Amino acid sequence: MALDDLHANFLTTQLEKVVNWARYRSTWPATFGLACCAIEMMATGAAHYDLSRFGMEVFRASPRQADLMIVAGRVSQKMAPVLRQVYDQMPEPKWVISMGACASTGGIFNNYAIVQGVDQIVPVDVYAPGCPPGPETLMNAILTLHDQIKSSEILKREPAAS
Amino acid sequence: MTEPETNTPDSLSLGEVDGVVDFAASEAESETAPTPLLADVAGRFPDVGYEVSHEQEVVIVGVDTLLELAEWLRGDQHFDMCVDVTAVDYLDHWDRSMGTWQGERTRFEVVVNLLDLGLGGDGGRRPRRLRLRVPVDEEECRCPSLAFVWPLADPAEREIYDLFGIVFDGHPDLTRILMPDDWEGHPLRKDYGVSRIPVTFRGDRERPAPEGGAERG
Amino acid sequence: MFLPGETHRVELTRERGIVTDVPEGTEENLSAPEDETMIINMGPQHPSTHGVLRLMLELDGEEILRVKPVIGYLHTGMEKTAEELLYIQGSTNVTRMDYMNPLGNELCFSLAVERLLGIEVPERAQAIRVLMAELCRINSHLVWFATSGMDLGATTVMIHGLRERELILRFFEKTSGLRMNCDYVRPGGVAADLPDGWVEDVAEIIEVIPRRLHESRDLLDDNPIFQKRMRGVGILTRDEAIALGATGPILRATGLAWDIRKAFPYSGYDRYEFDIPTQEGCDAWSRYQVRVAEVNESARIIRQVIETMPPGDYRVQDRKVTPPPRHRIDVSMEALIHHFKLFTEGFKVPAGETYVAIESPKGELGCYLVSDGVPPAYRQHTRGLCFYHVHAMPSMMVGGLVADAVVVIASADPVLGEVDR
Repeated sequence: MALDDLHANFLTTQLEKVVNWARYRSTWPATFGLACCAIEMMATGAAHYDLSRFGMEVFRASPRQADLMIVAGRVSQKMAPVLRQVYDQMPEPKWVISMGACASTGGIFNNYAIVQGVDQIVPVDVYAPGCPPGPETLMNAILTLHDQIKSSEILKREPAAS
Repeated sequence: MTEPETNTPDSLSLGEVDGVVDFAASEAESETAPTPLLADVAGRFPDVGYEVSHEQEVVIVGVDTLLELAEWLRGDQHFDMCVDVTAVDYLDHWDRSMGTWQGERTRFEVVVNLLDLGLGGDGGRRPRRLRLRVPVDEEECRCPSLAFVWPLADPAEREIYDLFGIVFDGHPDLTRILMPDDWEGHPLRKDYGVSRIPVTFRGDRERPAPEGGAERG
Repeated sequence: MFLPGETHRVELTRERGIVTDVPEGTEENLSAPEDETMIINMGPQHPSTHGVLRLMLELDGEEILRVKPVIGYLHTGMEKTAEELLYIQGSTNVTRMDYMNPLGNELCFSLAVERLLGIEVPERAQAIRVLMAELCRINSHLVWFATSGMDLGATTVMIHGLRERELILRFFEKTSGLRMNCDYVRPGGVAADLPDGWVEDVAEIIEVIPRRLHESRDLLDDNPIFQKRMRGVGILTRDEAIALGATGPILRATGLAWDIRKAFPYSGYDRYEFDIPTQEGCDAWSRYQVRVAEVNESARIIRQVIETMPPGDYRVQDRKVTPPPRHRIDVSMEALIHHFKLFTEGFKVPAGETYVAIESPKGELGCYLVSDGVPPAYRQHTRGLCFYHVHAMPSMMVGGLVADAVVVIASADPVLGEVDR
């Protein structure tokens, strides 16, 4: 087959690279704002920091349309089952960013009410430190996640534990 | 739903009912009441105690007199707004070493903060605040509900019930509000631990395995 | 005069608990099939509930019959944590309650501690506190402006509101090192003096924000959709507001000029001239007007603070309460000991109890503090004003349409961190 017969441009690549490219360039976060960090998450999405540069400005209210959950804030014992349910409703593949000290470790609230780290409930891919993390920190976490997605193997990703 | 019992004047004679704290025993003489408002209160309710705490007027009232006093404060004294209802657990301080008064052993105290916006009456009055402290016995752990006097007390009393376990008689819907419905215990009691979880790090041998195996390999 | 009548009060109380306890998963059993009403669950994960508020709505068609707020999804146990923290650490804890108004929370707590200590902070510290509290008020109203616009579908307003807010956050970061949760106002004064060039920064803020806010208002004020969704929606009369403990812009939108800064001045607010904006409409529109007018009043206060900022100390020079200056630690043994004691044992507060209230952007923020004489506060309770506003929502919603529920939530401006604490 001669290339002359082709009427359009084309390029060759690996399927995995295309899929990963598509995934990391349009990661849609679910709006899962809990506490202070949610405000910084909003600020990240707003004009000054402009998350749409990374194809991520579409915060989806429905978990069915989202593939990234940014757990922004402290998770209480009462909220934990809800959080897990929202996570379960998200379609695979899905990622979790634990935003802030409270979501990652419980922060300064080591008491009866707060889950000491959201990784006890859902698997976390990236932890963003800070109380609250500034928008730059969150964006760094997002870019770190992008790198992870970019270099992941689409067939070998383990399904999340139930 | 039960209406709160209205206090008849007869039931106010202290000493007939068991467990009533006799605040009047602490040298509270109405002649020496420090402010006009407290003098009014003391004149009308001889069995309540009072003090001035950091320039704020405080009335210490037993659970039996509370409803009548509340109605009077809201109606005659124009304390239109109840800003807050909370509680304190004086477990470690039976004798109230906070320098208040020598009373009988009552573990809990319901604290009601009242506000007079200065609207009622002939107008032009200055706004003022008043605080009610209501000692609540540990055994009975009951207090009349103020929800029918100031509707704001409704959620506040649910919070106290949730966190301290004090039962409010006559409350329309006394259920847990902050903690999950199946929670055991009342977290803000002093004998309820903070439930700290020791901080561990990844790779720590004593780190407990996460529940549900949520860790990804 | 303004007191709710006897029956009215009872009705108000009854209305609250009408939809009784609804455990998870049993919602459908509540409404019998024959009465044709429907129970709808809204939240806790919902874009318009400003966090994790959950509402159980009983509907007849589109009309709301009964409402029950279900809260506690962000219960943090802060009042328990406060019983473990030194007074010097206390403001770290309270600042995370109302995260729109972190410095106001710290101010309220610090005032309570100072009242128990019986100290008065220097005039400069008071002026700095007023400056920061008013910046927080502008910040809070801007976020309210942004999020409530977003709830009604006006995304541009959200972008504008959050853009303006960055100016304030940048100043907070310059002053305290953190954009939010600053831990800047502490018992005894403030953590540090204002940074160099603060006059220019603040002057820019109060020049730019009211002007830009005015521009953003043009998008909303004459917008017929916005007007129709706001006017006459979420009515809460003055009687109801007083009975339910709704304060701040909600109370001022009923025509009552009630402001704690005027009624019980604190932190030197009586030195500044400002007005209390009021509206008569009792609805969401009036609350919107009140909040926007308050931004201008705050800018007016800040302008006076800039002009009259007194020189002097930014914190009490009492070594038992505040740490010594850094350079003294190198040369003075006493300073070192004081510093060490202060941060390990904390300062002692005389036994006693007090209640302090301030006018936060949303209403009366109160702190009830009990000390037994040794450092961890024996009990520290915050009057969560949003807690009461959330429970005033049923009175605003009942009889309206389900679409108006979003407007009511937006106009009440709840911050769930403070509702649940």
